[in-house]
Amino acid sequence: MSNGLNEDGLKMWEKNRLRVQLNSYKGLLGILPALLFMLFFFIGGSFHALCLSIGSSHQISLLGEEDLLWAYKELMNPSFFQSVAVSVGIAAAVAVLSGIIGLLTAIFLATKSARWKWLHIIFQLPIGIPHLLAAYLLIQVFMQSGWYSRIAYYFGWIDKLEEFPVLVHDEWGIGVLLAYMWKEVPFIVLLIYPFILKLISDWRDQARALGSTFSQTVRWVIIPILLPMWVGGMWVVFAFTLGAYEIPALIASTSFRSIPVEAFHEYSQFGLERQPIAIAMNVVLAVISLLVGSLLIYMQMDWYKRGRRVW
Amino acid sequence: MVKKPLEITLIGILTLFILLPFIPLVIWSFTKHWPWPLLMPENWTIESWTYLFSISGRAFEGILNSFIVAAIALLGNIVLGIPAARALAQNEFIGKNIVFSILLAPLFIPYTISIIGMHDFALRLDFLNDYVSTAIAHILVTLPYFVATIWFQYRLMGKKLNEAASILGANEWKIFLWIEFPLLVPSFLLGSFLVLVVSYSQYLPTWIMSGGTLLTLPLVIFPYANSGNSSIVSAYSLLFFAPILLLLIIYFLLLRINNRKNTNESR
Amino acid sequence: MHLDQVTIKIHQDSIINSLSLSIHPGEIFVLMGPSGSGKTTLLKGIAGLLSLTSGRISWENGIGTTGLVFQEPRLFPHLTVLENIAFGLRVQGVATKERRLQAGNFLKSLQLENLGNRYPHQLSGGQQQRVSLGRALILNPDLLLLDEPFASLDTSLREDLISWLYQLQRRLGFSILWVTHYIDEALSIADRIGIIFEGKLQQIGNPSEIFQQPDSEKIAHFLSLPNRFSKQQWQNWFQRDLPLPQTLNRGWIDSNHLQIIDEESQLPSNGIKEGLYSIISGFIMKVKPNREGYTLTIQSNSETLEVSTIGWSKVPALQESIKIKIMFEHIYWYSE
Repeated sequence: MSNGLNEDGLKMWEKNRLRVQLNSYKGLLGILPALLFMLFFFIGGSFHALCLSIGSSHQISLLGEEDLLWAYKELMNPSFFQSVAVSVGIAAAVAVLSGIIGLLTAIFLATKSARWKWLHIIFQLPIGIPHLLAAYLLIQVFMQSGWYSRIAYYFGWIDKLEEFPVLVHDEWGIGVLLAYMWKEVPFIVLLIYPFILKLISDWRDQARALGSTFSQTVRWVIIPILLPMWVGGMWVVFAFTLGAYEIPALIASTSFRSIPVEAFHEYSQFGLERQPIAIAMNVVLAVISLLVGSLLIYMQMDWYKRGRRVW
Repeated sequence: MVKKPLEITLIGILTLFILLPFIPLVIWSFTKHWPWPLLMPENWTIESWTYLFSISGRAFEGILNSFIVAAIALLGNIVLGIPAARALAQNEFIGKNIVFSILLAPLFIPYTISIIGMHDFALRLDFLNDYVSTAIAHILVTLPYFVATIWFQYRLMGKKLNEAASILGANEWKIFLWIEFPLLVPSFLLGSFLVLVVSYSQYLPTWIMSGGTLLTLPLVIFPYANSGNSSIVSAYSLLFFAPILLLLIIYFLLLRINNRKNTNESR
Repeated sequence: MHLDQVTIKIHQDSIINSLSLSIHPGEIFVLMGPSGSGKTTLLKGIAGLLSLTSGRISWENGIGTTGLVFQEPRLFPHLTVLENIAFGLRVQGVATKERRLQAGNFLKSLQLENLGNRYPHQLSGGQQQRVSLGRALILNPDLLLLDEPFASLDTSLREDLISWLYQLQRRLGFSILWVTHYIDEALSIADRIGIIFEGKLQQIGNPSEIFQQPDSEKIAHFLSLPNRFSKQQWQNWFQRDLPLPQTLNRGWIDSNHLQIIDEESQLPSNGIKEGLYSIISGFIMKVKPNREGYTLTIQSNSETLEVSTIGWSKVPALQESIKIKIMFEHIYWYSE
């Protein structure tokens, strides 16, 4: 009798355990659709495109033999390398500048009271505005016949339209930089503001009790703890800027050879023949971002290995 | 103390930098002719606005297409994103970091190349219509934002409530509907808002997936922006902001309703 | 350190109400009070984290320095133990080499010699709290402010840390303002104890004064003193007017001073002169064992009393009728 009860109990226990295990697997199943989606479309798509760029058999060289890597060989020239440098340079500049300005702004906002709420709303405005229109908005004000040059004229700072500096379609990509900053500074603020708020409330009193001023607290406590998050945000900006088309297409001068613009030009203008070139250009961009990312991840792993835990 | 005025000046410059460009935009949409160096134009007209809504202006078509694609993309995000965020937040397993990085990858690696590949897939499966295939591309772009937002809220929630509900005999679905979802609402709204806004602003993915034929608003606007017809582009831009503003208002309204419900319940 | 009529308001609410207090050099002053009574606010005010609405702080030697340690260790997660301890020196602009040396030497007195290069998450709770204390102490504060520093640790660890800190304090000679809600903690280290209610100091005294002679029923209640009754109730038990000043209208007696007496020995022994006493009868409601014996809850008419017995041999039974002898001289009188 008691034995039977025990067995029943055991069965019950076994059943419960099984249910719990099953539930935990069922929970894990939830990842599958999204994971398969990403594997199939993102990784599969990239891989498929890569194959398209390599195995385009219809491109046969004069000698009659297939040249699988012709697209990549064609890219091996100084002008393309220069484009790479320009694209990476502008993306890095955008990432670092908006990272720093965004961080300072977020700290500023976090130390202000509710009376400054309206400033938050202003800083969130550009989030909802697409890059295409951001580019246009800035062209509107920064070009030589734009609104700012009119204001400058009105105040008597300039007499002629030509005296206003060339900021749109300029050689140095200043217009591109400005337009990206307009979009990405608010993005960084949006991303790190809640964390800064929490870090300040967590650490300000403690650091002050040890005699530290607010700026020391920011430099020695808040920024180091925020670092992984902040650098991650800058990486997102870097990757996005590296691959984005709209802003350089609208603001950059034709001599400013941004890779996404050139790639899309090849892709949309010259038909299937030139598609491998467009893909190859994008492959280069993806690889660069991957390399930068791997470096960052390696640095963070190294950091953790030495025992630091931040979050 | 010396630092303060400098700080205020810099923030002031940044605020003007963000805010000022909107002013000439509104002005331009109501004038055809505004020569340098006038601060304000002399003649006002609503010609651009009437053109927008004419057949050749294609404003309605653009809004409709944008809306359809964004709606499908949001649906896909909900179906794919919520279970994934939940599983990632509540379980520990080997390779979790890898799975997570794959889901967030489009944020960190330029995605144009995979969209070119997807377009080639889609060509072979030509029964997929443009709306669906474009929406798939948009899901690829937006899913990381959605998953990250929902995941963060799940992490804040922790597992304790689930365990409590499970001990009280609730099954998985009931736990989700009765416990998790009500707590998830704020981040669900934020995530949805991000998905809609990001989908709504895509240019390149839409162009590539539809071969430039599915005229969402950005595709309608781009040629004008390139041509330099300031008046029409300005009107289009303002039109573009309308749905975003509407979404923002809806988002805050829903958030308020949700907050009020919660505070009422807690009383 | 002297606090003179200090008031601290937060959002128009007075948290601290014109409070005056002096802490002598080398003294451990324990501050006790219910939650929300303003203990933490006072500490933050003294540490300069909150500004005083009115009143002032003065020090024997001009400008005094404070160190503040919270209940949670709050160690900087990105810094090693050594760097955490050296943080205050870094703020003061001490050169890297010099501060590493100082912090390294200081580790010894913290009994953390080999843990200098660990990160906070690699330490136990007790070690973390020691680092947190060390981080404040290395700056040689005139006054160390402790906000329930060991409350989240388990009992034995707490006791170890208390005696360690006590010895360190006696050696280095700084003074401490120590907030705690543990009565045993207060009794074992305090030179003086202050009781704070609603932002006002109610009573200051040495530990025995506070525990034996509370100034008011509020304090007696806060310290959960047993057997507190009104003068009227005592008079009912003694069946006579008690010769007491008007103001002392309540009295308490420790449960050890209540004597359970056998039926036989109940008769007063006429020969020896005993003080005034009363015998009341009741029955046992609850029996709680303790280290010395048992603590009994006795119901007598409508009142309940707490009585301690010594020795384990005789186990009291529930509902058993007993008689208790109360000596008048053992009752401590205080005012309402």
